[in-house]
Amino acid sequence: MAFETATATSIGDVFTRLRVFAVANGWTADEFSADRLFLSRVGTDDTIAGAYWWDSGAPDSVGIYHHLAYGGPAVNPGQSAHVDSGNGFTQASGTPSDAQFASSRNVNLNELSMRYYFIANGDNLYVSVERFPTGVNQWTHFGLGSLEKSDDWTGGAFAYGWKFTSTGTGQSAILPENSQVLDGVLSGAGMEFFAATLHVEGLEEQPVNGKFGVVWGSNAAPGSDRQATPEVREQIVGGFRGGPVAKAFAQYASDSEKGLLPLTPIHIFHRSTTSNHLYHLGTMKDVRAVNIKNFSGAGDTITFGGDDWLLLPSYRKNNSGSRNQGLAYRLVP
Amino acid sequence: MTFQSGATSATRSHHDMMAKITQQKTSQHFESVVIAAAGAGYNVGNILTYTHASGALDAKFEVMAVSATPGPITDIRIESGGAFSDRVASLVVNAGGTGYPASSTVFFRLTDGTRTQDCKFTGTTNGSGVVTAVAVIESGGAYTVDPTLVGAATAIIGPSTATTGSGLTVDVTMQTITGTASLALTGGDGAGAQVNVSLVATGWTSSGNDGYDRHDFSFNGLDDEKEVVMTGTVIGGDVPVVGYRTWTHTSGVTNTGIMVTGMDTVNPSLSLDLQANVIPSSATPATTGGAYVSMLEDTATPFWMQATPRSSKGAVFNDGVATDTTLSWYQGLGNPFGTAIETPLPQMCMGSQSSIAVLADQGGLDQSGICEQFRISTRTGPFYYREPLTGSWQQCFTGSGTAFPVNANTTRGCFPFFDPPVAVGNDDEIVANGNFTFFNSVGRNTGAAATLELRPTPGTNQRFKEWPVTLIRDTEEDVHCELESVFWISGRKFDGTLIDALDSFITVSGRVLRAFRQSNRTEAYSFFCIEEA
Repeated sequence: MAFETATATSIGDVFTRLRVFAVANGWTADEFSADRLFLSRVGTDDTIAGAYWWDSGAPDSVGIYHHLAYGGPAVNPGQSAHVDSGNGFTQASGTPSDAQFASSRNVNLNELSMRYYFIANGDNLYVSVERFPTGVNQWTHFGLGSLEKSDDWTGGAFAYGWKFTSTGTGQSAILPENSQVLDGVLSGAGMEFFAATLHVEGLEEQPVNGKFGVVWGSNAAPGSDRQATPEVREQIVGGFRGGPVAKAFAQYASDSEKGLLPLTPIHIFHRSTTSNHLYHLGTMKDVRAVNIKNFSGAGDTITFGGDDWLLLPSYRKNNSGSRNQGLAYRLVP
Repeated sequence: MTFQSGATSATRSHHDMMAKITQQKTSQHFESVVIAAAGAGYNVGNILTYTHASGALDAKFEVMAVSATPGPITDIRIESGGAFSDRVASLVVNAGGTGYPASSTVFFRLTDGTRTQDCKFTGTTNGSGVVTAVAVIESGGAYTVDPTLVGAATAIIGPSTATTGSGLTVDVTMQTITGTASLALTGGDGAGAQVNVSLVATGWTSSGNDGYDRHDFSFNGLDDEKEVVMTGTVIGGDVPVVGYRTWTHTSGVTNTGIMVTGMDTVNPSLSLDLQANVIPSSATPATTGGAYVSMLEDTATPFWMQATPRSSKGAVFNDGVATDTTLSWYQGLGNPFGTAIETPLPQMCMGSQSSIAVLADQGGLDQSGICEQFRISTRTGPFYYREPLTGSWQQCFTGSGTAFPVNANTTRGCFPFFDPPVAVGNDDEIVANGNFTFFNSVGRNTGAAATLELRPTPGTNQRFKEWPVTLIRDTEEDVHCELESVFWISGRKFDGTLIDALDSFITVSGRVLRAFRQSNRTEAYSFFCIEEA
């Protein structure tokens, strides 16, 4: 079954269940313990590998790591032995504090009672967790996967965490300090290391040994990855909230003629910062941007073309949350 | 779906273009091809032709692979589907009638037979108003059941001054449609190639209750301008009805072209301007609005056109003195969003300019294309969309004045040129304004380069990424439809050069897209594609 939803009682419980689900859907659990889970998969176009790491003593934020391969036991996530993308807090020994995990790419799962949604579609492992802080639901999204590529360039694997800052007064959905899935709007000082990362090689201006791109919207030069010899990362743009496709279609709630709404593909581009050339890399598979104005915001399922799609808020449907911003996941039986 | 490339005649080229559009849409075309005899001596890229007496338009084939260079053909594709039918080959007078304009040339049509296009012919009258000689014009109609062969009845279809006369009957000789097996091809570097093909009706009708094809539109001192209305084919939904008029405009220089229109239904007993909900409402070529495609007067003009049963679109190339322009049109249904049902009617009517005074080789802001959709704010048109819920024709455009995309005063336009304003201050504020587009608000009057230029995909294929031209309306949050078979592409190749402005085609996932510039634009973002069959 490539879709599972249930309640979990702790962060450890979430990842215990995720491990079982992932393995049942063709992933390899390279390592699993009380504070970490490494997953990998040899995909159709690329090898997808990553890890989740948390402070088991005071779990709150879970670090999200993107590797090119599993570098072996007794090596912390984010270390060069795994050929790491550069995002997610790491240190060579010991476990970081919860605050340190929160300072880089992570997902915040700080409740004792959560409802999780595990969605496995081919080479993609998407996770959404609904948290139940007192009186108000909040949604998070994180995952590993591989793009549906527009050509045979080397790469495609990605990892993303979740970052949401609520202003409490609206506009939270478009803040450049927020990021969900692959999102080329994230920008601002210090925000780069919360961004999704993408395995890319051989792109224009990319260093010969470059392996990664960072999905964000700043024009500042991206930082480096965490290979044994670090290399500068490439700028990856477009995504969930930005670029010409999102702007043209993703804000629309329904068609006044037929009452239909677009499930907008999430298009990913490489931007060469020296030449200002734009290259279409591909789209995220089986996930779309959607306006959930006419939906409950509590998790709706729609069916069309024989497929079921799960519609979730990117954070929370209301003015102080993420408004009508939503994600749609295709469910595979 | 059928695609056709070619060139018009050099005499009244706009009339000939109109005739060819009608022939393509009302005839049968080659839909599939297999090699029957590989021949010898061919090279990849050779264009081979099939000519037959039943063909108003030749079919053309492109050699895709050979077993040796040069050598026998191992793979071939249809480049132009041709236009074939049972047709009237010749006529002779059976009874000359009476009362026709004396010593004149009158246009007639046959009135019976099962056909998608009437056989049209000219009749020459004597001093007494009796027809003494007849001659088939254009292609001889398109029939599935022959007309009466002896003493066939006729009707006047022009010029506008021919309002009297009756009784002309003719004897008809038919030409049978081509076969489909072992068709001998000519051209290219080799010889001996033969193909087996399938024939499919393109799906439009310009006769009976579904249209007409006449030479009786009077305009600018000419009394034989063409006027054609055609109805498409849709299973289970409303059908598109489109119309055309040829025109000539004189202001120092003579300008010629085609006016494109749309309407809800057709009454063959009425003129175009009286058809139900016709756009523009006067259907009279004007300098103040409408949808037009200008063509150089009396000049053999290259053209490309594609037709499905639901829509038709095309482009002509004006090799002008001042500048070159590629002018395009689109008529018929779009691909509706979210459903295959066509009811109500999502019809579009688009030309390249909104004034007949704009010369074919003028370029500039006065001319645009079906993808760019830039309009002159002081005129209506040339891009119209029939709003399904109300039935009213609305203008759509992506820019106006001197800059584009302009989202301050547009409410409906086509992605990707249309840059809709994002919601601000409400719960639909969920995408980022100010993020990049393919054009980044370039100024149209300067033809400035985009600050971000889309390049082919990285990888071994270096694909041109094709983007469906999609009509959206920001005020009502509508995604209306796509222009069927029309795509925007960036014209920049991987090596940094631009694709050729003419005769460029790209292959995407086995589909062949023919690329064109919009009007006289030269920027990398000013290209679009029409999908070949």
